[in-house]
Amino acid sequence: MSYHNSGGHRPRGGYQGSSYRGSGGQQSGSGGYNRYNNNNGSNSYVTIIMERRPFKRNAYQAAYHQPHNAYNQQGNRYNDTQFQIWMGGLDPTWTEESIANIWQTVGVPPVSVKIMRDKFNTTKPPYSFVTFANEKEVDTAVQKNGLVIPGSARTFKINYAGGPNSRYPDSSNSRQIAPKNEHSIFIGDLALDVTEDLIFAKFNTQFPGQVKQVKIMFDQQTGANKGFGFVRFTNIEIKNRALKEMNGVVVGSRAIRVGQASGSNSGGFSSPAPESENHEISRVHLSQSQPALNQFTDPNNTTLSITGLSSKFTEDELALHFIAFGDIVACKLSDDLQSASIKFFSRSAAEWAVLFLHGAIINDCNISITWGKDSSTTYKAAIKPPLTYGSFDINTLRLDNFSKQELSELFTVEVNGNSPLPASNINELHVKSKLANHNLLESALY
Amino acid sequence: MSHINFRFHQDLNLDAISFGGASKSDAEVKEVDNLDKLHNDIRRSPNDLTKWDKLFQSFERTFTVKFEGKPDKVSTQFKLLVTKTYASLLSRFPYLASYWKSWSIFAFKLSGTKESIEVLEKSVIGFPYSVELWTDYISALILTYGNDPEKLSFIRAQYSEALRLNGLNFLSHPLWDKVIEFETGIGEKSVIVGLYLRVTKIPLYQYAQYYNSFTQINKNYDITDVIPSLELAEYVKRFNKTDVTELTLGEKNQVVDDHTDIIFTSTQEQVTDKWSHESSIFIHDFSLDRLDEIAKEKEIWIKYLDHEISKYKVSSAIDQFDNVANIFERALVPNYYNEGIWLKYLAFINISELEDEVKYEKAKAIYLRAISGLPVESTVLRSLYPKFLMKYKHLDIAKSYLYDYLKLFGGRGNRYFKSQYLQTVQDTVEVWEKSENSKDYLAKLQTIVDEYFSLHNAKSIKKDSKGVKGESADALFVLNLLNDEAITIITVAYLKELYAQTDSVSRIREMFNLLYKENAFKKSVLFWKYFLNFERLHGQTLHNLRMIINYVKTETQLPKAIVDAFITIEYDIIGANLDSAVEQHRAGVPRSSLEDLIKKDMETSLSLIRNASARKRLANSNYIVKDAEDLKSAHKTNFNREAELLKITRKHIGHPGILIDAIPDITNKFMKEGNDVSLLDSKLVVPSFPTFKNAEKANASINYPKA
Repeated sequence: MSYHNSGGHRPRGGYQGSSYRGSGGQQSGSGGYNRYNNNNGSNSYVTIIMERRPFKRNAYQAAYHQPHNAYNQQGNRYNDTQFQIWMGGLDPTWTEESIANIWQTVGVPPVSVKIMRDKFNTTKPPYSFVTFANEKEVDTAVQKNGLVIPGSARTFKINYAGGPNSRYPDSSNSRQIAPKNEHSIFIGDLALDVTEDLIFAKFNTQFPGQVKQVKIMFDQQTGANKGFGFVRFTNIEIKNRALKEMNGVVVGSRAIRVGQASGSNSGGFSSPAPESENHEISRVHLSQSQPALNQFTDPNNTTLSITGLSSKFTEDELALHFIAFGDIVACKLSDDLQSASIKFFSRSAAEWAVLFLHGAIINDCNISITWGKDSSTTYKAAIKPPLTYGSFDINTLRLDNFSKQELSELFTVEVNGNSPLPASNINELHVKSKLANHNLLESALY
Repeated sequence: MSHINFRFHQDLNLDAISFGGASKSDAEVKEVDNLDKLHNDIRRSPNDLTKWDKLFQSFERTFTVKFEGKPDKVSTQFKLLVTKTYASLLSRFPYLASYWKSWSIFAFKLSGTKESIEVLEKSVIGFPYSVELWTDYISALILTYGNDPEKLSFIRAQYSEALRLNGLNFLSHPLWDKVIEFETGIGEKSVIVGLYLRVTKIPLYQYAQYYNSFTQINKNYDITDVIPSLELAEYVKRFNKTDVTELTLGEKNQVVDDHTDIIFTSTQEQVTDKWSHESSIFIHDFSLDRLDEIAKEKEIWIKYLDHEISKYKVSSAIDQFDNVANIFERALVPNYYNEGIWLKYLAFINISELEDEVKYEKAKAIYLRAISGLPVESTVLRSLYPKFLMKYKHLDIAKSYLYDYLKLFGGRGNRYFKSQYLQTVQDTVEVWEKSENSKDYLAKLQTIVDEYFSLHNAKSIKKDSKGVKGESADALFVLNLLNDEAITIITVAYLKELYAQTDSVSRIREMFNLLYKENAFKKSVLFWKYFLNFERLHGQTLHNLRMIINYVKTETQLPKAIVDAFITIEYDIIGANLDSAVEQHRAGVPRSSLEDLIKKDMETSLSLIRNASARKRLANSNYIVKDAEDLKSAHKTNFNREAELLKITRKHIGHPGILIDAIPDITNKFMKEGNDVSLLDSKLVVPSFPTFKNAEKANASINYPKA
């Protein structure tokens, strides 16, 4: 997994902007309105079947890759390897043609393929360069990294050719580390239990907002950390301060050692970091801090914590106030009936609920809503909910009222939003939604 | 134990009693101090048996020190203290068999046999389903009065009661043994045979033992005593004889053996059937500290009960009914505080094939035992009782229970059980409707509504209330137990009844005008649903309907799901009355129903930008907006709540739930309210360049709350 996806951080503005790209020139001035523009008019009328507020993960990821490319471009996209990728892990039987076929089958037909063999040392495994028509295809191709190659037991081993991450030792462009390495320091003597979050937290308390990135090196085989890493800062002053101040600071169970990162222009302090790993750090393209993962920062968290209920709610009643936003997985009042936690099925539902009801006065209570967690112990990362599609008249449900059996039936019945529906099905759904409305009103206690 | 709140039965009024004797030595004073302390401990945690144990131990000490060996010297005060203490513990936990026993032993030491037996007698009344206590009681009776012929019928009556209650208990052999031993000693053949014939048919743990002893003696009795006449006639026919007297002794023995064997085989089958359940149940006693184990065994009990109930459903035999009932009683000893099993028991009575009268009596007895014993949190069973009484037409008793529950659930100083409370209000209205004539019923509801909202000054009401009789005390009593939520139920019941009796649309609309602004109805679904349906039926135009929906959309605090449901209903109604809507539109009504038709999707949107009515509704009831208004209205008069709400919403940008104060923004937007650029304007000027605020903060790191 490349580094930029691992953080719990979501760049402000970027999310909305990219999610709704393609909706046509609606990204007006203030970012705040973009969120709402998505719903603008037509959706529910033109397409009868509406997606059940899906996660825009794909768009999100695509957006994430944009700056990535831009970064790479600076250095080396202007030579003949512009739209080229490096591909390793080749089967000895493969020819340039068969590699081209592989790419054809995965949907990215290459312009040309060139297999490179070491003439002097034939035991060295061959690798190849694959050239594509444009940058977009290169991006798509690189995303295949790690996937299983169709018709083969091997997986794709891909990298940007000539880019800073190239494993091709002879590449003339491979030594462009210096500019990216600026303002970073080497950290060593790390204990095994030290995580990137921990290091970040430590440095961030010392230099708030000035830590751009933390990277610990891990052994690919064992998965254990190699005992060293790098911290990158926003500017040289902070970096120099860190070199002075952070040496011997205890992180986790051991004191760390700091030093100049190799290739740093200041020089003078030689780092033991092997060069191959050193490439990794330069792959970071977004300047972003990484807050520790907790209920507030986890982009998959769907649990809300509601306070200010002053014992005036029943569980069902509270759920009724939240059911309009999406399927509820759990709704639980605290023992003293002062607060509650509600877990939604989807993240978007939880977000709508916060936007809609934070600060509302319900049953004469001042409600405030924030992100919550499932249990009172330490926060565990939420599992990303699956994509769901629903019918056009969405009856949101309390899923905790169903048995496992019923739930599985419920979700197989759910209509796929992409296929056209026969009239009988539409009628059925219509009646279902009318009934749900009716039951909702009938079930009111007062 | 912490998760069970036991109901407080009876005040522990122990301090009124102390030791007798005029002069008190130092030791006595010390002892009294100690007792005071123990009493206080108990008062603080009356469910902690160790505290009680300490008190009983101190009684033992006092007894040994002061009265050992001189029973006539024991002071009456001390006896009374002991009695009171035990009684208060055992009225709280009547199923604590071991405490009943230790009480009877102590009573014997203090006052002798008679008192001891009295304690045992109390014990079997307090805990009638205890084989152990009954056995002790019967043993004590036999031991004391066994040789007294005058007491024979009394003893027999007592053991019959014991067998009636516990004879079917799988583990009741000690009781049966005692009774058979006693009757064998007396030697009345018919009684002994009767007992054996009864016990051999019951699936007991020790069933084989009774079979064995019966086969040893059954030939000593006349064959007509041992075998019922019908079956005997069958046997006689099989031997080709016409009369019993013709059977030889050998034949007779053969018949008796065969008959006993048949009984044995069938009993054995039943025991095998039960054994799979019985063998996995280990806790048969009431316990306050083994709750986890009891909870585990609950599942076994339930399976066992289900199995036996299914057998009853097949046979409907009264024997099997008694058998199931007995298993319920046994299950309820360890699971005394399990509401579910009580409810299951009641459900079983309900499906049974008993006469209605018998059913009622049995169910009532169970309800009363459960209500007096279960903690307040067991609301389901409690709420069912008035319904049960209503079903059997005991409306007055039902009413008094409902009034009690209004207090109990309404949270006066205690916990508020909202749904149970509102259900009780609903039931109360139902009882009134059933128990009173329509005029009184209406008057009662009217009194409550008038009083609650102080409508007496309103002219329209005063005029009419003269006609009706004055408020009943009943209504005023209930009025004091009502809250904002309950009154909406009463109001809707009142409106329904009012319309049913007066048939006057205008009266109902008058009521609407009087009431709709009351805060209570901001949260009431029933009230708005009633008027929606009312206008749907009686409205000549769509106008009133629109007004109502519009008010719901903008002024209430109802859940979004409910508002959406109302909007959808209005949409359907307008869709079905398009002509009327179009007419309205042509007549130039501002914001006609057609607009609602078109804007339905916007009005149910989740977005506060698109959904203007939700924006207004939430702006009217958002405390952050209110706080801001309070702060600013000192300087400015025109405070825009909706703008403020949007401002708050925008702080969520990028990450809902994490508020960020400095949001980048354009300061000279040309699309602000009323500032739009009209494209019809022929002299369009190019708007000035945008100016920004907080733009430099766009990349500032986010301050997440501390986890």
